[in-house]
Amino acid sequence: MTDEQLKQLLKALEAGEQGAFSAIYSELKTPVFTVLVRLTGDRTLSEDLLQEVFLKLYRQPPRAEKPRAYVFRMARNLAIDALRQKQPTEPLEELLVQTDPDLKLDLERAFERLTVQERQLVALHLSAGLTFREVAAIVERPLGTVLWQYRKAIEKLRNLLDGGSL
Amino acid sequence: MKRFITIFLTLICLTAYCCPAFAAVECTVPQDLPSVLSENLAVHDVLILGGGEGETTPPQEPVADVPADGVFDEQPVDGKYSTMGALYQAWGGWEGYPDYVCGVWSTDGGMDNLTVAVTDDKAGEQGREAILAQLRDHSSVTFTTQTYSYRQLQQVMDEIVTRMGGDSPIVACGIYEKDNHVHVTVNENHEQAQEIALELSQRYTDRVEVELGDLVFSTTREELGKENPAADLLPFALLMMAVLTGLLLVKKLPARVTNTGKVLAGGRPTKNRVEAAVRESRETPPDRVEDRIREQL
Repeated sequence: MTDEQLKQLLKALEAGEQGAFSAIYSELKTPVFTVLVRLTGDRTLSEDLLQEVFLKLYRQPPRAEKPRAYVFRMARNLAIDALRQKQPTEPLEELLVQTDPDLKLDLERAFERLTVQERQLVALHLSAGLTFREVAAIVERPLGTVLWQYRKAIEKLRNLLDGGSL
Repeated sequence: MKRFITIFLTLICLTAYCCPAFAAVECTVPQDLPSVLSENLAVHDVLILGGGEGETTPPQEPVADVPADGVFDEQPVDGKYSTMGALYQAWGGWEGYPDYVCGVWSTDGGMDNLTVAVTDDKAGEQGREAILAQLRDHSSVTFTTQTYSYRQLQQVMDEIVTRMGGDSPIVACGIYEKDNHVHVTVNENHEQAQEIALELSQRYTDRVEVELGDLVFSTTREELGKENPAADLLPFALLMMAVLTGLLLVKKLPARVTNTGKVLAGGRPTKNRVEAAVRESRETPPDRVEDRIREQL
């Protein structure tokens, strides 16, 4: 779904069309949930956050130029806030989160070794399909830094999936 | 012992049938085949930006004057950016490359001094001038030329991507800017692997490099044009290589499974394979979430 199509659906939702909400939920539930799980490593918490994202969308449909990025920004912020409540002092660059044991397939194991900062770059770019410029705006970091940190995160994943250490 | 005998017989078979075939392979893909077989495939990786394989040193300060809000976007002064790094960021990375650009990578591991590959034609020459005209510091850019623009490779990749998914043997593809081609990974265990690998190689010639197990090859346009009867033996050679590689590796390397069932195997995964695995690894929320939302609406 393009940003333009999403805009139309959000307009329809604002006008009270219930069908628009179903279409938006159906389109975005999986990528948003994926980003939330990648960030928090907690499926139950991610379900609560997903619910919160879509309730906010329903109650106040955004009028953003890039609504897709807006939705993921909202999801990311909620996830970071939730992580902050658990570990308020750790900077994102150093913060690691425990992954739900049920998720411990190899990719998830590897993700567990990434910091939250790295997780969000990888998830927002690859799972949410956002451009690096959009990701940089969401995480409020310079584009160059985002590109660099993303590359490092992928290198880490490569090492981890190869059975190595960081 | 059984395994040893199998490998031994395969080797005999390979030697008996494939000596001419290998000659044909060398003739058909003379530059790629011998070298890539002895190299780690990861050397083909193109980094987004930055230095060589395994580098851990962070770049020199990536952005010289980061604004307080953390979102960097250098505004040009009199239409000029301070460095090539700043212009690259203004492009928004590869997504905003002009049509004449083939690729961009770091010259020294930092973000400011970049090597820009432009097309080896008139447009590339003009593009080079256009880039220089937008920079205050000309020393921040080094130029080189390549055959295919990033857009052309993007088009090839887009076509290939449409053939991925489902039961396709094509498991990953990505643009390798330094090598100026699209790297395509084909699942060597798929029954159509050899057929697809050859078809891709012949259709896209040297715009595509195909990775089939440990075999990495591409076909140049000149080679495709040549009448080469030995080329008929290439499928057999590829098949034998795949079988041999499979026999040697299948029990040695653990498969890694993602939550969509995608298997990553065969040594250190490339950047593209990791990205594809992450991209395809999705979490679907249970229906109860939607029910809970509807209850609250």
